[in-house]
Amino acid sequence: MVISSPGPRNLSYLPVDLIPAIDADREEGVSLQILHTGGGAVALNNLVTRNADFAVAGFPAVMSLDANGGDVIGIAPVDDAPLFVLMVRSGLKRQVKRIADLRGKVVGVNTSTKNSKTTSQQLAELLLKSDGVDLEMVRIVPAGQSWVEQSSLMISGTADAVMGDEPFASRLAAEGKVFFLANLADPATTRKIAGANFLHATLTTRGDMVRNEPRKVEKMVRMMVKSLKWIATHTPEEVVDRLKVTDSEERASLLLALKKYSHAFSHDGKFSSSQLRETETFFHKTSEGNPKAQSLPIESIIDARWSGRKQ
Amino acid sequence: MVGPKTINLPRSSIARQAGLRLIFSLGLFVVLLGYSSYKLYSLALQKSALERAEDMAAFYDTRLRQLDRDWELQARDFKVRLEVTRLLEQRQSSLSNLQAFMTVQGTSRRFQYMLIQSRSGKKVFDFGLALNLERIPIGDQLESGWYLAGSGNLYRVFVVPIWLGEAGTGRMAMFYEIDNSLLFNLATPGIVLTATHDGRPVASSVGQSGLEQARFHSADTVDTEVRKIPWGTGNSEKTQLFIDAPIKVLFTTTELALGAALIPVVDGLILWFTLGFWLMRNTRRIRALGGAIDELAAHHQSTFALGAKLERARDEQSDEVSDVADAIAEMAELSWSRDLERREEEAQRRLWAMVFASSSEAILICDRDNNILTVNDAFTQLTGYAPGDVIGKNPRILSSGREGAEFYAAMWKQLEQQGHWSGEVQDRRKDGSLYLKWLNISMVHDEQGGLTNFVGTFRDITAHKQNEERLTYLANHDTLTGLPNRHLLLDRLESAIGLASRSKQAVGVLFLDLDNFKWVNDSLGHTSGDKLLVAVAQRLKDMVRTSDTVARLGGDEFIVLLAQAGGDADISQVAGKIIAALAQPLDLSGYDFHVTTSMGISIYPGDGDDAATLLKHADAAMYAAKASGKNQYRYFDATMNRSAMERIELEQDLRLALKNNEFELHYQPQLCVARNAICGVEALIRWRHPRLGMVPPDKFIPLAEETSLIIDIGEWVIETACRQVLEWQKQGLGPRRVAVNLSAIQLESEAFIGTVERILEETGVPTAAVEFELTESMVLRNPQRSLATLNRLRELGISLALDDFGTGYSSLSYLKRLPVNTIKIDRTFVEGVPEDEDDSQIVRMIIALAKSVRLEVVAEGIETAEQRNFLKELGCDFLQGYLIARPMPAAALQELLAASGKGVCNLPNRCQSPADWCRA
Repeated sequence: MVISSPGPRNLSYLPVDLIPAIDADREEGVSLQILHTGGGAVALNNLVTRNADFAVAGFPAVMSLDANGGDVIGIAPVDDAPLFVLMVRSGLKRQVKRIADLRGKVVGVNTSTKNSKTTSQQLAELLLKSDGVDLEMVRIVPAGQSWVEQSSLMISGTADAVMGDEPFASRLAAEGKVFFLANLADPATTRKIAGANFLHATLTTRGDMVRNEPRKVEKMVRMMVKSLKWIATHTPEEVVDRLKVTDSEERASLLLALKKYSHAFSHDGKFSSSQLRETETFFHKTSEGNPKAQSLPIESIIDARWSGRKQ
Repeated sequence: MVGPKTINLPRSSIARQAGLRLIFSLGLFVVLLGYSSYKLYSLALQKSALERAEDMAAFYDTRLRQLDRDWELQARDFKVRLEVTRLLEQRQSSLSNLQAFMTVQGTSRRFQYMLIQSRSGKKVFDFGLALNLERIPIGDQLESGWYLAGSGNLYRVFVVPIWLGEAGTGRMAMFYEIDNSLLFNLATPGIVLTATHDGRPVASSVGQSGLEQARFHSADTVDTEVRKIPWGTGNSEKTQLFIDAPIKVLFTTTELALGAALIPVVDGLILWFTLGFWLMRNTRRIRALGGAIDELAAHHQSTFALGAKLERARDEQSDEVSDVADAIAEMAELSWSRDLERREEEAQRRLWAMVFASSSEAILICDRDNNILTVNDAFTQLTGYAPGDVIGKNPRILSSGREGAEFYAAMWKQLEQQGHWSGEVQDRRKDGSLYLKWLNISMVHDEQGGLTNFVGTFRDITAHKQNEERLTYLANHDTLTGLPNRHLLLDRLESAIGLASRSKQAVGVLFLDLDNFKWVNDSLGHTSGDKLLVAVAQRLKDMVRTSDTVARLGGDEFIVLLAQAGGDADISQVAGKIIAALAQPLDLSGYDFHVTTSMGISIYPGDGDDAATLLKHADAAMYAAKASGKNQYRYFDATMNRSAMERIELEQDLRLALKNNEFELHYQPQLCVARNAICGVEALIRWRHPRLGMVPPDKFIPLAEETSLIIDIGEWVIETACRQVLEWQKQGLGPRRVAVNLSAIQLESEAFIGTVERILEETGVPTAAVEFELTESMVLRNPQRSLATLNRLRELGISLALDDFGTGYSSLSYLKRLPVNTIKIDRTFVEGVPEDEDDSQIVRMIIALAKSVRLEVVAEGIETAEQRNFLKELGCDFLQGYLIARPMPAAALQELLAASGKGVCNLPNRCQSPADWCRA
């Protein structure tokens, strides 16, 4: 069984890395192979091009793919809160005080594909537009979704800002290499964003998998739920230990992020109806000008038969 | 005999067999069609798939080469871009930059892993999470190759030299993973691509499930054509691309199922409607044929049901079945006709047997040797011989011996010549009695003409013969007198003429008619009349020779045929003797009765040469004798013939006259001397003949009396006169009475009184206005009857006048007995007065006589004034004659009467007034 997910050790997708770590796959009688990618869109591409049977990606990215013809279905939530941080190179601290100051700058986002725009790109563009920055006045470049990728862009100065993920953003900030210009964990930021509490990392599969191999889907959902419940019932240290993170800096940053974002993950693996509504609102907001995306109802690409629903 | 061979075999109708065979053939057809269609379809699919697979193999071979070239070009392109950044030349300081450079390539980079190594083979830089290699895993001299990672992932590796600055030229390897995504993007719709390395599947275009299935098959299956092509050069056989080209079905399973069901069904229906329908139709026809045969076997004739079945078998077709149906119909007709013939023959035999047995005619059948074979009951009843008495014997045992040998010889001769014989034979019964029989003998021959039998039929004609003789007698004789009748007379007369013509002798025909026989019949009754006729006949027979014939023609007419009359003298002698003999009194019921006869005589050959002529001429002569005073005979002469003809014509006209209203009454006034006025009229009949003009009464009244037409004429006269006088009286013109002359025939008629009473009642005329005139001779014919009639008339109030007084006996005793009121002095006495003393004396005496018995006197025939004056002086009451007035039609008399009333009367003695006429 192959699952494609951004990472590795991207906080938002940590439950995926944890599945084989806690032997949830073997308990289901399978061997889970994780294809890490530089973004949810790439993971979804692996899904639709049969490199993987499952993918984990931000659900706005899933909706973007579906609006562009991808036959994908969300089968279980992974995150409970979106963890995005718009970080800026420390060298630009004097120049960039607010988002509008990013005009003329290079902004890195999770790597998108032709058919799917990553959630981080959608969020970055939304923030830029909300602060009056014409998207033609910024250069958006792929920033990957791993520490190496995102940190290299900041450290090398290839990008001026990155809509990055945790714990990489916090680690760079702790190293003094970046400062946060916006953080979805910050209410001051979320106030500017419609549907800011959208569903981010979501376990996704193809329609043919749901139709043809429901037992495999069911097993995948069970593995994910086990991982989520395991996280919810264990300390950040236990999580990190189980992931066998040996790099001390990485371990520290991960522990810090896990503690900082204690409600980052869904604790039961059930879809929240209110969150789905937030997600739909967010996606429609970010896809203005695209009639097909605007008319896409989120419920049409949700199948909660294995994970369950809640308010 | 051909028996029902199939009697023990199980019954299976043609219809059932046809149905089963049709269903079997339909089923077989459907199965074979379905199977062949399936095989053809599969073959077509396989061929299509094969061609498609070959095309796919060629296509992907090209596509893989193109992919390799792209990857190689990208590797070279990326190498150039890296060399341009010169990041590799300051390796230590620019690691992050190099990493960032790689990151921002994003999805535009196609490789999953990149490894740069120095000339010494030491890793300089790598990028990508997939692998973590220390050196390029292909030979130093190779530019491309395959790398199978420990994870099982296969990579296509392209190696290009890259400038590392001071470190010189190193090598950069680009790793392109042969993963599901790659094959997914390569695969065309419907095609499954599977990449294998060393025989192990490493990637599938359908994903993980494809990889799992690829482990189990790599060869053609029933629904898939598999082709494999080598990927890359050199060690080409290690890495291969399997192309699974599914046999592209043209139809879905549902469509196939529908087609598989529909095509056989449609074909089956077509087969049914072409062959099955025809077959079942003909099966029904054959079944109807079978039913027809059963029907024929049951009834042996054409029946309605048979016709209906044959019609169903024909079914408006013209083929073998309809031929058989026609043949059965003909067979039925033939069977029926043969059956009919057989039954008719049986019926005929039964009929003949019944005819033979029940025939009233005796039948005997003999063999060719004339030995009796059989006889019927009638034979036994007629002859008294039982069958056992005669069978085997010759029919001659029936013979009486009365017929001679010639008779039998003639009989056998005719029988042999004509085959049959009929005739009378007198035979003898078993009891010995004789009988006359009518025998028919027929010879019976077989088909070859050989004699087989004699059939004799006969009946007893003894009684028949006797009846026949009786009828013959009756046909030729008068039943009353036993004399030959007209028929036999004519026969004998013809014979006598024939004989006389040969012997040159004469034949005398004496035609006798009794005088006044009608009076005898009417007054004495038919019984007396018949007795008279019988007596006359007997007397006539006594008078003639045996060679002569006495015949009765009818009524009172007799013929005496003198066959061998010598001459007129002989005939006259016989005639005189007959008249004399008949004049002798005849005894009728104890009373002597005198009868006379008038006789006419015709003689052959002088008066005719045939019987009819002789009879006619004798009849004419007889009338002449009657006209001459009766009781005499007359010979025929030519004038008699003419007057007889005239008389016959007149009689015929007279019979039509009354009907044609040719009679009319003229009235002659009678002058009342005392009053000098017309007090009465005498009605006188006139016959206005259409051809002869006015015929006087003396020309037709005697004829009317002879023919009794006088009865009807007299009735007309009385009624007409009564109506006329009543009419005159109603007009105030009328004479006191009208006098009508009666005939003796009327007076003697029993119906006369009734006729008078009817006329009086119908006309309403007063009886006092009617007077009947009669003569003494009329009364003397039958005094008793006449007196009775006259008395009855008197009782009715009718006046009676005795006409022609003085010409007859003028018996005073009669005058006293007759109930007359008036006597009319005959004109013969009036003519002589006053000059002739005798006549004057007679008239004077008559008037005196009348006065003495208080009778009125009418003198008729007054033509002179002297006569009138003479009679007036004698006291005659009424005068009638031309001097007074001639007889005139009613209209003329009416004018005369009317004129008299107006004082213009031109009578010699003018009337005082019409009213005076009636006052007396």
